Amino acid sequence: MELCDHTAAHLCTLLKNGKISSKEITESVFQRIDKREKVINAYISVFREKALLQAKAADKKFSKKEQPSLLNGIPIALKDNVCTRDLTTTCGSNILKNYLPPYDATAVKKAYQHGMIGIGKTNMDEFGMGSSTENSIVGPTRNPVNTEYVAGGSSGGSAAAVASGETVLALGTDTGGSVRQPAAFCGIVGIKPTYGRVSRYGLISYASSLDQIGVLGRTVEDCTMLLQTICGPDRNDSTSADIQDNDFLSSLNNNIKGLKIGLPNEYFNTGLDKKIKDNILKAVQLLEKNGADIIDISLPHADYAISAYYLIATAEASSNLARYDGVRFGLRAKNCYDDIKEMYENTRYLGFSTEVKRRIMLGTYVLSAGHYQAYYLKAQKIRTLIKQDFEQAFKKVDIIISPVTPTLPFKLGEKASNPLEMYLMDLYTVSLNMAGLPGMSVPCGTIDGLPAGFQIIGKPFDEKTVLQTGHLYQQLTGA
Amino acid sequence: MKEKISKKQIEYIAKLTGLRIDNKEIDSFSKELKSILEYVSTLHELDTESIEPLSGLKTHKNAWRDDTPGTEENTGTILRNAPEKEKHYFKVPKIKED
Repeated sequence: MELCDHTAAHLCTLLKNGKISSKEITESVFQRIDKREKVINAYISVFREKALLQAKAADKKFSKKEQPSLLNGIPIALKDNVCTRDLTTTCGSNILKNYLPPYDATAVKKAYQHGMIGIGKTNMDEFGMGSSTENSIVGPTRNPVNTEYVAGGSSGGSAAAVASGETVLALGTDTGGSVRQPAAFCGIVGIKPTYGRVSRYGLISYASSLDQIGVLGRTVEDCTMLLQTICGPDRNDSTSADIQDNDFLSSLNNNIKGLKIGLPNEYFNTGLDKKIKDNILKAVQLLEKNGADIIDISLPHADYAISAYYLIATAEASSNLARYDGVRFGLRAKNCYDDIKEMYENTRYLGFSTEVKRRIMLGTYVLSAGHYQAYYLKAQKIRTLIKQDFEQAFKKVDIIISPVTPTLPFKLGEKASNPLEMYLMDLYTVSLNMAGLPGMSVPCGTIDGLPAGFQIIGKPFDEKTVLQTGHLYQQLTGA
Repeated sequence: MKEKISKKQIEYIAKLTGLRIDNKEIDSFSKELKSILEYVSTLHELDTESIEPLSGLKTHKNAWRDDTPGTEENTGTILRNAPEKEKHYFKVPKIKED
């Protein structure tokens, strides 16, 4: 086991006691990148020199006997749809291949202010549109557990980097499951916080009413430390929540005696891999043995979530992606146009992949005259029902436990030919984005050598209970 | 509700989106959008007559700030991303009336 394989919590203790330096951790991460990146392909770009400079500065803070921040000196990978000043931010797209942001996203800025070491920008499905990280300008990311399999998506690069030791922590983004699903596929922890918990300033938009920045790490404790570091209100993002209480760590070790855990019937009955179900129920039993009450609940509109989600997400995407027009930034098609309109059309033809075009087309269709009411407005009404389902459930229970994915990881190329089949991977995750709820994917063993995970869902802004439950489970199972 | 999407409709939608799509894509998009719309048509099973649409989550108080003027010296860093520019301006091809 090298330094890059340890938990952030353990590395923090070693750093604080002067046993190791941030430089050594950072070098260990880059050694691992040199060794495995050719196969894993977790990164779109890495910034070695900048990272080593940051490590030097972090080490200085320790030697000065200042009180450095919690995660001072710990490496972090950044998904390539969060802006990094003067460092290319591509969104996995040809249309932003050379884009150099003029500023850092707030989440990135906070990580740097706390002394974290930026390792590089991680691979993703173009604009977050995918569930396998196969749809990117730099090709697919492979699952470090078994490289014949996908890492999940769209934050597959972030998940694979954490799982392979190519970073210690990572930022991801989650519009319909894009942090939680790759975390489950790669056997690590991933959190999508409540909508509004983390500033989205500097996050390149996919579907603004659903997008949220999240965190990935090896343990619940590691993710808690990172979440605490990057969350909070931001004057540059008016949709960030005006909530100052962001201390999740001090209550992390609280017990769960009397905690009411809901199991939604609809999530365990149809389409779920039997072995995944067994593993999740074992985890639930363990929590029950340690003081939790298990209660059956119902989310009656669960079956409609995927349909409503894809209509809303694509509609918002078709509007958000209208900005890529070859005028102010990004690609411009060369010398094959007579006027500005042709330039727009040719630029977007060359710049977007088929999947992105497909979603822009679907989104435009459902917003167009004659279809708006039947599809877009209908989907928004279903969204109300889905949110109400959770509100009803949370009158009876404190948290909900569910699957993250209906199946184990699939092989590269396996679902490439059928877009609808890929969309169905998000069955258990999209509802949280529709209702704005926090959710965390926690590993629960392996099946046929592949990782399985379960999802803990909380009330809005009750990350604390979600984290406590996940942390206790990991303590009990020795993760 | 059975959905049919003609090639003509696909071309019309492509025009609305400002996308050029080739013949092969017209064919595949018309099939794929049709199958996706068929899948989502289960939504029509639900009577939502009296349900309010949800367009944004109102779970929290937004972090508003005062609207005070400030200055940012970043014209250069913004313009360096321009595919074509002249002095302090973005440069575009000619604009024709339809």
